[in-house]
Amino acid sequence: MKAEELTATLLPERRALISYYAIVTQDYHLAEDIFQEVCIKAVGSLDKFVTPKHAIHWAKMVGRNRAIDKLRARGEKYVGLTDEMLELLASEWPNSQKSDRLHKALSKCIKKATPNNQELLRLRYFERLPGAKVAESLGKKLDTVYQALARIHKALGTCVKTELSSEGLK
Amino acid sequence: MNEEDLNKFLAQAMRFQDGCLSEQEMKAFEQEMKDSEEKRQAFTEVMLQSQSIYDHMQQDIDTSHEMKKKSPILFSPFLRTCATLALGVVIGVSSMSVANAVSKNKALFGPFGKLFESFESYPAPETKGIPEQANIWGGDITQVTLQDQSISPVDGKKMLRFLKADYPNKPIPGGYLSEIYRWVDLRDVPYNRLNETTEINVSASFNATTEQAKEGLSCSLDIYAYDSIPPELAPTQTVENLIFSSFALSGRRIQAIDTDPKSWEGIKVDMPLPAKANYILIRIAAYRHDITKTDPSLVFGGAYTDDIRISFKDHLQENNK
Repeated sequence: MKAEELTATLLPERRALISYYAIVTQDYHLAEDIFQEVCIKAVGSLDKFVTPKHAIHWAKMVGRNRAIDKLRARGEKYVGLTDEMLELLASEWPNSQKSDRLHKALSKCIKKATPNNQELLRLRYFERLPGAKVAESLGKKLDTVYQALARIHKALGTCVKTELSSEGLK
Repeated sequence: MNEEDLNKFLAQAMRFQDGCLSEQEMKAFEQEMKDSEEKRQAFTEVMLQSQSIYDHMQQDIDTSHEMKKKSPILFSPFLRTCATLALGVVIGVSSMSVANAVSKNKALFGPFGKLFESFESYPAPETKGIPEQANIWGGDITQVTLQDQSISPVDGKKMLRFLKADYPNKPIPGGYLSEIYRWVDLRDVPYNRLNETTEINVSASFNATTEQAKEGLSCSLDIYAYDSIPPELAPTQTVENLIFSSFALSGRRIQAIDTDPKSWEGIKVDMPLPAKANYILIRIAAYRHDITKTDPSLVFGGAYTDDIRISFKDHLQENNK
């Protein structure tokens, strides 16, 4: 595969791959770093890839292993999902086409969220604060924050489905 | 799956994201997903939504800067990765570090090859944009200061305050993005240099007065690898040019500095070092969120950096520990 083809294959998968790596790292910053490392490694391994599908599968596996290595190198015990579950999730993980559709719909849905919910999302995902820090800044209990986030995600999910079906997509 | 069941499961997914599940809770969480395709789907959506929300908000900030200034600011990890891929980075790695503070080449490098800058004996950076030689700081108008307003240096007695954002011919004028640069000559590293597993680590600390932080302030640290200092690019350079003229790059941003003047916040950037990299360009920036104030002569209320460190590590050794 040529470098241009690889770029055209991996870049659109960025969001889907980072969120997949985050299942292992439980840390989106680290997942983002891993995506960059995987891209660098991929450029150095062009001759390994025959098809785009192959390159994406390779990126999932290499990134997953790299994530586990990174956690071990930090001396952290890996408390996470088993290989079997990671494999199962990998096989069902959305591709770029689906994740792009979700992203576009989600962008519309976030704008419909109440100011309080938008603030909660900003603290949690834009500033990437853990639940405990979010709770501290909002003066709320940790469980209340987790439940609120769960409700927002559910509402966003419903809104996304409505948006997609209004466009005739699933 | 009924509503209550779904709510509970999603709340547990939030704990999962925080790495807060015990081994037992993790097993139960996994079992729930094994038993229910619907739950696996809900989990997948939450993980994807989380990254998507970040991208959406990041895009909002970058777009608003671009629209206001009609000049691209390309900090997002996506664009960095685009550049990395587009340029076809070659990698190298091992362990060592660059040099200590003040001025001339080899003397910069301590016996352990680490660079450490806390502005103790350094004049304020030259105000001409990117310096044309290694080992000096250049950029916007800044001030080396002792304890200032409510901020004390993180290390030593001095620190650097970002004052303005207006070096001559600055490609992104408007007074909201203040930055400093420094070239580091890697050939000065007193080691048997860089084998195939060398990774460079650069870190810097940032702080702001409560008022400045409330107004909104982001800080960033980026590094770019070059084989030589490109004369045609210095000293006025857009970030876009840096991205596309370098071999490799890496960077991070604190989206919003906190309002506590007692706490310094750090950014650490790692990069596998390309084999042909002889120079690293460090870029440290602070930018005000309130881009409605576009007066280039505007003085930043209180944004600071200190304790800049560069070191190298061996990727493989690190992994084998």
